[in-house]
Amino acid sequence: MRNIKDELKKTRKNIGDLQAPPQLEERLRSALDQKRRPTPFKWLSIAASIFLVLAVGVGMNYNAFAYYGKKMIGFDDITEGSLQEVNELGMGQIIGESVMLNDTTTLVIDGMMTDDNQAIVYYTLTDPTGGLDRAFEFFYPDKLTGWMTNNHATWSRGIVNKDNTEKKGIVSFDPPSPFAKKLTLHYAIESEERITGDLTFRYRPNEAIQSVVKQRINQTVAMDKGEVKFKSITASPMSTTVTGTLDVSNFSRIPLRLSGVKLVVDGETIPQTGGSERSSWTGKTNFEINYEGLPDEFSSIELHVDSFVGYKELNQEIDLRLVDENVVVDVGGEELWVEYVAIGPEQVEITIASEETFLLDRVFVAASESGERTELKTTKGHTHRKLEDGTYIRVRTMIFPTTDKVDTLIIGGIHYEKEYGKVIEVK
Amino acid sequence: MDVTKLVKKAKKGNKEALLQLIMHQKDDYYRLAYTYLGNEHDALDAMEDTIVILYEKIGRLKKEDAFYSWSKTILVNCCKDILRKRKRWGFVEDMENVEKMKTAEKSTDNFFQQREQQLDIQQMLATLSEDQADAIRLKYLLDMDYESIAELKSVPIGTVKSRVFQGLKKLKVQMGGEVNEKY
Repeated sequence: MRNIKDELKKTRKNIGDLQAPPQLEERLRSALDQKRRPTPFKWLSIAASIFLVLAVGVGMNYNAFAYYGKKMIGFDDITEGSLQEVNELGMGQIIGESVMLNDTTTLVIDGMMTDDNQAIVYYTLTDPTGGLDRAFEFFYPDKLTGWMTNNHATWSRGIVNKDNTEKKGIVSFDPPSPFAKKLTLHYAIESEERITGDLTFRYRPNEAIQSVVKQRINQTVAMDKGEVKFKSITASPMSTTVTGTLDVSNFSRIPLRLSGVKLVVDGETIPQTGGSERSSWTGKTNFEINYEGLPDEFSSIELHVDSFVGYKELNQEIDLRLVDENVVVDVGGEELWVEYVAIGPEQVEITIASEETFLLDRVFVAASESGERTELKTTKGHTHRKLEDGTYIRVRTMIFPTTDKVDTLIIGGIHYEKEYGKVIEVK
Repeated sequence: MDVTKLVKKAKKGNKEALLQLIMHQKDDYYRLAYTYLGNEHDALDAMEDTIVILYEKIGRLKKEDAFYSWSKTILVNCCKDILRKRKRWGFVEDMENVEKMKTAEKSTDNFFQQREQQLDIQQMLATLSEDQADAIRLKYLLDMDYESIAELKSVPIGTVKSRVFQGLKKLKVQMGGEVNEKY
């Protein structure tokens, strides 16, 4: 008679021997590559500002500070920078709508903070019985709807207190239509099963925070492999958004994105808070960079393109017989170590280590005996290693499908983080 | 590898950081998916679905160090989605498997026997409730401890133990064995 535990053990052994197939990394990478983060519907916020100027009839000297005065309480742990400051000044609108989610849990929408870039909903979950543990950790407010408004959440943040009796959360959406007088927050609770619900509340579009700057930039910066065009800047004391398009063929080759674009106001760098890119039907990529909010008064705004992905042509030959892991190879000013060369029956594997900031391009191996060149087929086994001084290096193995006795590694060029140091005067 | 640092990067939309996090435990993810789906093709599909969901939802992950249990929960859900779809399509295939199992019992080919044993277990797990089958898979096929299973399934340890016990009991009845083990 068979014993169930023995059967399970046998199966376990089979499964324990399994290894992820080599094509996994490539499959995951291409699945991710097709994915872009959503960016806001710009026409809505433009409409919002036009409406505000027409309907409210206020100019740049409009004093928002005197208008409100109430602060949303208890959100200091999950907000920072401008968001905390505008709340401190009472620039949000208090809402105070609530609904029971189950026998003991209440959802309260405390308030909203809106400008031309985003609308942030502040909410609180309370359960006096202390049940806000894992079940409500997966509480997702995911959509905001209303008249001409249907916006998905762009990011959210929350914290549950020690006794599991209260959760404070904020969630960001694109700003609602200026004509929306009522908004509905849709949410989902994902625990054992998915439960959805919504809560409608009154919204006062005229209490949105006024922009201090809203203008076109329309300036283009040439990069090594294309160009970046900065289109507009919209800023309020709550947040700043710079938009534009980019057409740079090696943009995604190193994980730098647009973090090297600095916003400098009156000589001070405004901290970057995030950004997103989305490819459009024209083949260009639309981007958005987010910064902290701006003060009421200032005299100059500049965008500094400090660093951005660059390309260096090299055509460098490295003699593999002369290198080992102790020899630093200078590749266009960047450092590289060849750790291991394995010539197998079907392919040649070369393991290299380098800092994270650059990527090799057009890589070949060559055998001087036959004069044959073989191009890199794929790389595998990307791992990170911590050095004694605390810095990280990236180690990976390059695979070349050849059986030749190769002795030379040829590097055509590198994609790297380049210091461009270009300055755009916005105001 | 500094998981927290990478998760923070991934939260800002860094795809490479997310990929590194997954590749760091790639065999674990793959085995988990394989245990549910039983073949490479579907396991890779499930992992693709998972990384896309992770990318979209990682901004909502509050505790950076919970990344691995959170992402595996999502992988399990993706596997179940594939199983659900397969259920709609797979009746004919299932019948074929039963036939294969019958012939394999007589076969002396070791490789096939191993393969079919695996099928056998999967087939038997399918007779349990979803929660019981999950608990047995994670405990006995992936060798996870009760605590990790409880974390992954977001239920108390006692619940996991009881699911394992009830599941084993049912399986033993099916195999005609004795039910006499104490927990």
